[in-house]
Amino acid sequence: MRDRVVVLARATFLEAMRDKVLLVVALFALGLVLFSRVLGWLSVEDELKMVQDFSLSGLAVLGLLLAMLVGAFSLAKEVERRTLYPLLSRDVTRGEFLLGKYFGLVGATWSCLAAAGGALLVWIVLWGGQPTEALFAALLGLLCESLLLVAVALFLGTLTAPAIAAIGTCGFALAARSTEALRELCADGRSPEFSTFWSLAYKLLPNTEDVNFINATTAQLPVHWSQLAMGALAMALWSTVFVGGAILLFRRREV
Amino acid sequence: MRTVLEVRQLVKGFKPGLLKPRVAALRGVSFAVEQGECFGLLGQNGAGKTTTIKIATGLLAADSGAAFLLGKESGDAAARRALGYLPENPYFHEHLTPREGLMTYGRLCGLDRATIAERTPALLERVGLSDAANRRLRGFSKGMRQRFGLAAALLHEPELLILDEPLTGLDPSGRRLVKELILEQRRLGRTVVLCSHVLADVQELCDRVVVLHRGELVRQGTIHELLESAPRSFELCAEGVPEELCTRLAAAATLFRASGGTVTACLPGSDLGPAFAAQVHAAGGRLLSLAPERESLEAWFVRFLDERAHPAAPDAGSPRSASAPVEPLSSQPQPEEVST
Repeated sequence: MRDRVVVLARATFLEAMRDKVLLVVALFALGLVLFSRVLGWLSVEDELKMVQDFSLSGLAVLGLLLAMLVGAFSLAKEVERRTLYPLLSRDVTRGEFLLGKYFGLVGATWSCLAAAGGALLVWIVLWGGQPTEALFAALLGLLCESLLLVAVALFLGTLTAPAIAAIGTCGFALAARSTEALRELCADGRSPEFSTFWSLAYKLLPNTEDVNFINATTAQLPVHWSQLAMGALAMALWSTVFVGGAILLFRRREV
Repeated sequence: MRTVLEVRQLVKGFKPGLLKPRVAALRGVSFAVEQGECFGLLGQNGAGKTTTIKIATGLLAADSGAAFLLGKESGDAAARRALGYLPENPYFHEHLTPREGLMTYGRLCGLDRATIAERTPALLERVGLSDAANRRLRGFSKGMRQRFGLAAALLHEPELLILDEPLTGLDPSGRRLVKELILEQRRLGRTVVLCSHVLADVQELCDRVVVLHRGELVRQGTIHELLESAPRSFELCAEGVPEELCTRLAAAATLFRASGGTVTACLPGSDLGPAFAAQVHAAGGRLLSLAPERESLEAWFVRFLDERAHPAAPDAGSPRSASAPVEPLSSQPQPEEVST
């Protein structure tokens, strides 16, 4: 089974990486990193801080865009073009196919993010800065977040039309970054009848803020690596849930 | 002889839209394909050929009934290890090259890298793609994709090869190549299931066929049985035929020519030819030849479906009334409704 998943992941990765859409998105991210220097010049604050803040936010958007493009549209494209026929008519289960697809898409997303992150590090060094521990943590956090977003996009892609899946992924990404608001709703005590619900929702919903170190980077706060590790574990668990759901749905789907 | 593919009582329906009623695509189709034969699946558009193939290859699940590959249910991935499948109008990951594609498909069939690397050049050469081995599939024409699909289907030397319209989109040399490959597979003792609209090819390549019509299996048998049961015509050529017999011959023939004392008549059906030959002989004429003419599979198919659509009084040569050992429609289950 592992071999087949690896083969499918490799094929998906190559297919995604050679697609011009991905190249355009990666170039856009690179452009954002380079443009951050201009904002740094205009900023009244620390120039380097501006570069880091703007670039990392740009990379977060890049992660979301990539998840939407590769995750939500990839499966629909396979079904529409019937490229999955030669794959699924072999000794391959639908679960293996979807797992391979997921890992391939995560690989493509991580490659783009890593390339853009690498460009950011070089950019910072070129302008006399020193990459901090928090900056590395922020970049790792973005990789962890994309792990979940690709899984969500793939799940929604098996469930509905790709455009709706892409919008759904975007909505999910925003919601997962705003779960802190649910806790605040519980704390302010204005609607006690809903407080249990908000509290439960806060505990159950994925919280990508656990792996968000962008603010820590710009505010030069210390990094708690255990927090990142726990966040990464949570992202991996949630990804398993969504990929598992996608497999269950795809097993019943007619292609 | 071993059964390589068996479909049992396949029933499948599709819902074309949310509020639209379910459309029956297959209504209890059953047949079996034995090892080493080239088996044809015939039918008009929408007859259920591709649906049958998709269920047999595990791409679709039947509403009821099942398909078995070498005794295992086709839904079981391991059962498909012995299967090579070329879909209709095949598409592949367009950013891969044929080499990369074959490596991917080969590994998914359980072949190791070394075996794939060893087989790939010969296979690409065989299907005429060795010059394009490192070009991305994206730029391939329909015919080239078809050739690549065939290479991908043959890579793991499968016991059963299912080819859905393998000759469409190919130029004459490509068609010849595919036919040669199919015949080669037969010589190697492999089983081929061929689904094609080009009935001349089916007649040329297949040993046995089934005919699907509106989701039902309406006829099956060897090509010989089907065409044997069809009404034949005879071409009679004689000389010294008396005037009165000539007139009767001309009236009965679909084609009549008389020149220089020799008459040539094309006599429809299986009885007229021998009967007139006897009369020529009795009348003192000289029979030069009496050649039976068999109907082509295409002509038979068109006439067969036409007769089903407009049932008339049965005639002696009708394929439905012939006594050839083929399974008639009445023995096939015909459920009223498709289960939803």
